Amino acid sequence: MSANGCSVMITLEFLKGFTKDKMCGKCLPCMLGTERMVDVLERITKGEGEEEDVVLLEEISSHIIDTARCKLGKDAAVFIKDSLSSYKGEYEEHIKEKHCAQKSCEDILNYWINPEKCTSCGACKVVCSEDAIVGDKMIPYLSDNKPYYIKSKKCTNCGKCLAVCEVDAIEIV
Amino acid sequence: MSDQVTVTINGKEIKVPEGTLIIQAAKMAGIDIPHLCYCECLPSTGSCRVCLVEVEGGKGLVASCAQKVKNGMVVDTDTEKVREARRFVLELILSNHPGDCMSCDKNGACDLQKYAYELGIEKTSFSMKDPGYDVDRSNPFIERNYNLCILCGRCVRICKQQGADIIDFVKRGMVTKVATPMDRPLQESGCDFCGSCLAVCPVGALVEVDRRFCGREWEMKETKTVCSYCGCGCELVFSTVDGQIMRATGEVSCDYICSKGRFGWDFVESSERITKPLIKKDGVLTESTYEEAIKVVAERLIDIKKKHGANSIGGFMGAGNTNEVAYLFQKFLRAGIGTNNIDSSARFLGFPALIDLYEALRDGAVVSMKDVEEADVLLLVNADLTASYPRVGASVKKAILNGAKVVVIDSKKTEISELADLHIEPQVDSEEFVLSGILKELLEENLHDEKFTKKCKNFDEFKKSLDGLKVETIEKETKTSKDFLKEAAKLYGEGKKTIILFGAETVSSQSMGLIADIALLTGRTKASVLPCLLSSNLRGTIYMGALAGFYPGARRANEIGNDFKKIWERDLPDEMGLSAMEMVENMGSSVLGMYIVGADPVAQFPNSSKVAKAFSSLDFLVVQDVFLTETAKMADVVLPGATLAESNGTVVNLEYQTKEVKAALEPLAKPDWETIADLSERMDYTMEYSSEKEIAKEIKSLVPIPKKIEKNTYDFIVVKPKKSGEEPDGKYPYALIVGETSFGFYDGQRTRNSKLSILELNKGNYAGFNPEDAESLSLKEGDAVLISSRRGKITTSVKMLGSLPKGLLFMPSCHEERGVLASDNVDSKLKSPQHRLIAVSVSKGGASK
Amino acid sequence: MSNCVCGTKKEEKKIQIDVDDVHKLLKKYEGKTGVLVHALQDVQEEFGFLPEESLEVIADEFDLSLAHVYGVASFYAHFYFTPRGKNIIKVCTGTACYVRGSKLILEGLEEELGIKAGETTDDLEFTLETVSCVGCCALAPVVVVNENVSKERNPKKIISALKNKGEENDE
Repeated sequence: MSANGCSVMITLEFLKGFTKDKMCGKCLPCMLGTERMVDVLERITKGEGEEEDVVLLEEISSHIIDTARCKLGKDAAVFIKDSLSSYKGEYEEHIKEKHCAQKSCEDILNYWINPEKCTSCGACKVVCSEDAIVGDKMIPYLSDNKPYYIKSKKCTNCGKCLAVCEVDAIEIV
Repeated sequence: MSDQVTVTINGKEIKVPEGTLIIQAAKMAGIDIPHLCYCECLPSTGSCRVCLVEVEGGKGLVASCAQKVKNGMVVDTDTEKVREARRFVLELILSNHPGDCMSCDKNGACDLQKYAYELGIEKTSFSMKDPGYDVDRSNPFIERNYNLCILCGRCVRICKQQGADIIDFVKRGMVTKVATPMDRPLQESGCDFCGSCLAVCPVGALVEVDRRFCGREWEMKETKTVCSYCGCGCELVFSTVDGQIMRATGEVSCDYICSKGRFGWDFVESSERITKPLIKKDGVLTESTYEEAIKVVAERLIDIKKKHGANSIGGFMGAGNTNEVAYLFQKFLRAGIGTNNIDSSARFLGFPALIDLYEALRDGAVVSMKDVEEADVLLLVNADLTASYPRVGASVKKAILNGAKVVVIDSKKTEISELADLHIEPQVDSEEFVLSGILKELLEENLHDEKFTKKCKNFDEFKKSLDGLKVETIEKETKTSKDFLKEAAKLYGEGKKTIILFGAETVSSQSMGLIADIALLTGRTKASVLPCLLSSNLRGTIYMGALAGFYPGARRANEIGNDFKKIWERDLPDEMGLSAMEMVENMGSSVLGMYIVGADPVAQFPNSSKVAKAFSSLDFLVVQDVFLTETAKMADVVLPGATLAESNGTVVNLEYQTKEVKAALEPLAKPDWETIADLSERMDYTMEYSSEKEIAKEIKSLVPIPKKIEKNTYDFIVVKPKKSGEEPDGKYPYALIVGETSFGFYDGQRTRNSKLSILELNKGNYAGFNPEDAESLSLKEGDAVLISSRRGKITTSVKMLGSLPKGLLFMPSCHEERGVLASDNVDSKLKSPQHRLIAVSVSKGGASK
Repeated sequence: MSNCVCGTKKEEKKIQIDVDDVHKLLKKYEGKTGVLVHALQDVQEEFGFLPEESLEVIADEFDLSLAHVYGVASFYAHFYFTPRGKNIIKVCTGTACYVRGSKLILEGLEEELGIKAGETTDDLEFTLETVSCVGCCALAPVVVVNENVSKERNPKKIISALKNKGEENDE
């Protein structure tokens, strides 16, 4: 699992895997219900979740347990229910604070340049196609250069800067 | 009777047979459980989860369409828990159903809409998703919008059960979709366009193209009538809005209706219809008034009768009119004009199968579709069921699904032969030998009913004649090993409920006799032989006496005595009357005036160039028809006819059932019976009927259907097998057979004027070749080819037909020039053309049409 | 028919197969039931994908409708209905790989090969696909070439290495 420990992301990955590989699509509540849960979970990992979403997920999974034809569908719904009750805090963190402590949910992550590591070489600014990085290149013997930093509103988390930074100064928070 | 169990549904206690599904039991108790994937006539899949109910003591909710009742079961179909679950499922479905009820044609008839309304769902609480599929509008019959599909799978199941089995669920999960193999359009997937899928679709995913945006469900007026195509006589319900047909369906949504029934009605609305009487003036047919036309016809017929006698006039009609029209037409000719020269298409469509077979087998020749579906062994002789009589084909398919064994005797492959347990492919035209061989094997294997045959007087004579036929002769003539015949005899002889089906117009009267013998030899005299009929009222036409030599009630002209003289209050002619081919033979000499109703002899009769010449030598020709046929073009007066969709009356189908025809539309001119009655009135033979109901009353007092036969012994029909076709020779090396196709019908008059014609290559104007024959002639699909017989030649296009054996060519009966090649050699006893096979030669080239 | 562009393109790509080969493969299943998926696997093993004609033969041999055979085959993601390339390149688009720039690699490969993910080049050399996760996120971004995780991440170099290898084999 590539989710690196974020319970919301793990749940989403599990459900996506279920819809892609296990679900047969022959009984409607399971097929449509899990797909709608994927929608809701995606919303949450993008930081667009709302407080009622947790209730909605709970409702859908309970209904699937009641109505689905086979055990596979019911089990998938039980997995979601368990995740909701066990990791309540993480869901709330994603929804209320738009933050993923495990740094898995890329859409609510921020790229940040650690000024302590940055050598102000300017390579990141060159590769950024969104003009999201501002700062001045370090010129020897001059000291009034502005330090580099990433404007989170413009940043698309594309990762290009991450790849070029030789001192690993760009971090995900 | 199976055991009864008691169940309580919503507090109501009822007794139902063991094995009943909960949903069915509820229905018996008058409780309708909402359902989407369940359909009464189809196996349950339990996939939609809308029919969930609570069973006391059970764990969770139960799908009522998949669970059978148990004694003492207590079921609740409408608790809060059930409603909650149903609402959830429906909201989910709605979230994946981006349809707009506003412009959906199913609005008002949609199950999803109905249940959503009942549960008070205004809008789905889930996010909406649009699957984004392209709507398939590539054919003019069925519009497929899978964005609205709720994956209930009813169409998949019914296509398997009674269609061509060409759709299934493809892919999986959220991208599951109903599709044809490789997702090709229907017309490229072998769809037979029976439209069964349309009839069971609970939502707007499958809709008739004809009705799109043409009328709302609640504006439709429904008229239950009978299909005007083949002899199956299926009941059709026409839905009309403002005098226009929107669609045709069966009475129950699962009823099988073939492509012609469901989509072929549009010829009724063709712009080619004759709407006004036409009178030939200076060689040109000119519009005139009804009164004038009737006046001219009456005057001319009176004139001919005065000068040359009543027998110089003849009448001919098709076999697709109502009983009332057929009865009145022959009454007009016999009593009104005073001639027995009255014949009909029944002459060409196998009338012995309707008269002689019944006299030989009585109850044995009365077979219903239900009998076919319940049979365990079916023997098919020269019957391409799914093309010629699709309803029978559907019933046979159902029987096969129920486990019936099928033996097919046919030189070419058919849809059913591919499903059969045994397909005997004899040398063309050797069926009589095959059937004789089966009779011999039945005797040899001791599979005959000795107790029964002892009671038959001529059994010994029959057996002697069979013994005289050598097995070697049979093998030589049929080019079939006797092992196959033995296997067929065993399958048939050991069956419990067996039915022999044959095409009345494709089987010789000798073969028909042998078929009756097979049934008699095994003592099967109840529902054992079904002659399949091509025309919608073949039985009725004969029973009404529209056949030379027969009076109403299928009574032979020499046996009627004075009965009809009294009823019709006229002296009746002594002569037996001329048959159709005899009339043609005598045209210009002793036959000078002809009255044709609903038939096109010039195109239909064999050796058509000779027939056309004969008709042109008439003094006077009047044609009453719906289209300007080849015959009508030669007429002096043309009277507009009515289609069955515009007529009231009755017809008799191949099951011997008299069915009521009701007009869904107003006739463009007058009902056919009224035109005949008006003409009769003008010729001083008064026919006072206020409606067709009064004619029906008169018929009922005269004609029992089927007729009564006071006899309780049976006689074998002794037959010496022979080949009756034109043998191919050096000059004409190929044999050609004319037959029905899936989307053409009979003379093609109707299907040519219907959208159905686009489904046939070149509107059915082609000749089918075995691919090997085509290769040896270096012919490719679509090539122009010149086909000649001893009568004439035609140019047509080539179609590859892998179903044909080498040396046999096939021509659709709806081919416009089918009559040119056929032989007019007449069987002396039956007075109908003798040869089913035509010897032809083939050469490449000629201007393709 | 003539204006149907996709139809003609498909025909060009169509590979002729010998139906007798299919019959041979199916021989061992004679008289058995419930072996449809096995038969499909055998045919795919032989041809690399499921040619249309082979499905028709299977339907015929097993007495099933073509619709049913196609329905079953399409149910499983590992059956293919179009020919696949000699080299199969999979780019992981799982979260870890995505964050590490796998999208750039995918775009580069798409540009290099002139096809989109899920397609095969006309010369049947390359098939490009995406996967959700291959279970080695530590190596992100991951590119799998012919079942092996590739050390190379430069699209141009990945392709040229494969092309060179192919030429060597030809010689």
